[in-house]
Amino acid sequence: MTFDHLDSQLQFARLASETPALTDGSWSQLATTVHREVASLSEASTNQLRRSVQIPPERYLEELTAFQRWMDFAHANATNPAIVRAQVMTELYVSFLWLQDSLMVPIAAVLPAGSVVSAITTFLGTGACERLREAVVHGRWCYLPDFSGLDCWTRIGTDQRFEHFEVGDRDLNAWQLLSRGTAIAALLALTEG
Amino acid sequence: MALGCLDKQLQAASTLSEAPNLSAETWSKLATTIHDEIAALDELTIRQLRADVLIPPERYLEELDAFQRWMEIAHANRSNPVIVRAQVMTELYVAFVWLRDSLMTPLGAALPDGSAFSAVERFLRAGTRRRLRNAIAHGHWCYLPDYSGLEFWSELHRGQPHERFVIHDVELGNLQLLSRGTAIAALLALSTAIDVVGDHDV
Repeated sequence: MTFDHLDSQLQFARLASETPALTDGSWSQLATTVHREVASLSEASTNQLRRSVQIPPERYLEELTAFQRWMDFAHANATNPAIVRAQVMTELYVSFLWLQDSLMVPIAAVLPAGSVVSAITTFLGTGACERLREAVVHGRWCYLPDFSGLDCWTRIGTDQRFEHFEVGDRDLNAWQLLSRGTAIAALLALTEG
Repeated sequence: MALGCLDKQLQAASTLSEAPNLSAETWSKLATTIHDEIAALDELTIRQLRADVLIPPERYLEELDAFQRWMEIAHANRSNPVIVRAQVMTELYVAFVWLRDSLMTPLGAALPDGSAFSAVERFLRAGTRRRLRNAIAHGHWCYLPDYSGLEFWSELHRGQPHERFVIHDVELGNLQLLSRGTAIAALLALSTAIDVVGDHDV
């Protein structure tokens, strides 16, 4: 199975300031590659994965399908700041919290360390993405004054000091796309047949 | 300052199956009480609190104001499942994740143990609410089959298997009301932009 449209969309993720270390070949067919890796799992691994994910993959797909239609609604109402703020909040939540620990981490755990899924999941859970995730999960973010991205804070070590950092729209959009696109390809593989 | 509209709305939270231990009088004017508790802090403490919170209280109020307008849009589109799902997601995130660590925790630390704010803040980060928060933060939740609430999974203790819990809409709505209403009352006290008060709905 190929995912030409999603493959093409996911190439935009290469424009981020930090990206997962993948070959050009993988980047050009990212969704197709992720789908193939998950679809090639043995039946026993797939069954184990469905149990460890707790929420049936079909429910994730249902929610992501609704989410895509919500994005369409939000894009059609892009001049309404209340809708745009709700859109940003749901994008951050879905991409950096909802899909990661409950879905992508268990999927990556059953795939080989050298897999594309593993590389992307590791990327989204470390470095700049990890700091952003921490800011989202602790509510330590707000808009930059010109709304060109986010002001974020993350804790330094275990004390009460925080490091401030900014994430521009391009990185945000690229990382969100990477998170959701990868999840969709993996979920389609888990729900086939 | 009296926050009559918010006080009235927050009384619904007193009917929670588990509720913060507050007197009937405090429940009858919870938002006003919380506002007054924070407004009574000395200037030094207020300045320290504003620094601890990191994000200026005015920015929280701006976001909560936009959130309220989004809720009105969502209510006007309640027959559209796509909008309702986005609404649920934003309500969960705002009430249990966004407001908690960054705002409620530092405020709770600055107020005396016996204050109404501390009682609410402690309540929201304990028991079922803590498990619900963790489930939301880690994406371990989905709708009940009949959409009457959520099922969620949480570790009772770190490293132990996740257990399944259920929370129904009325309970969930009242917890969200308590979280957002408390935050609004506190932010209004912390904020210098007092002219944004109006009649805030949650």
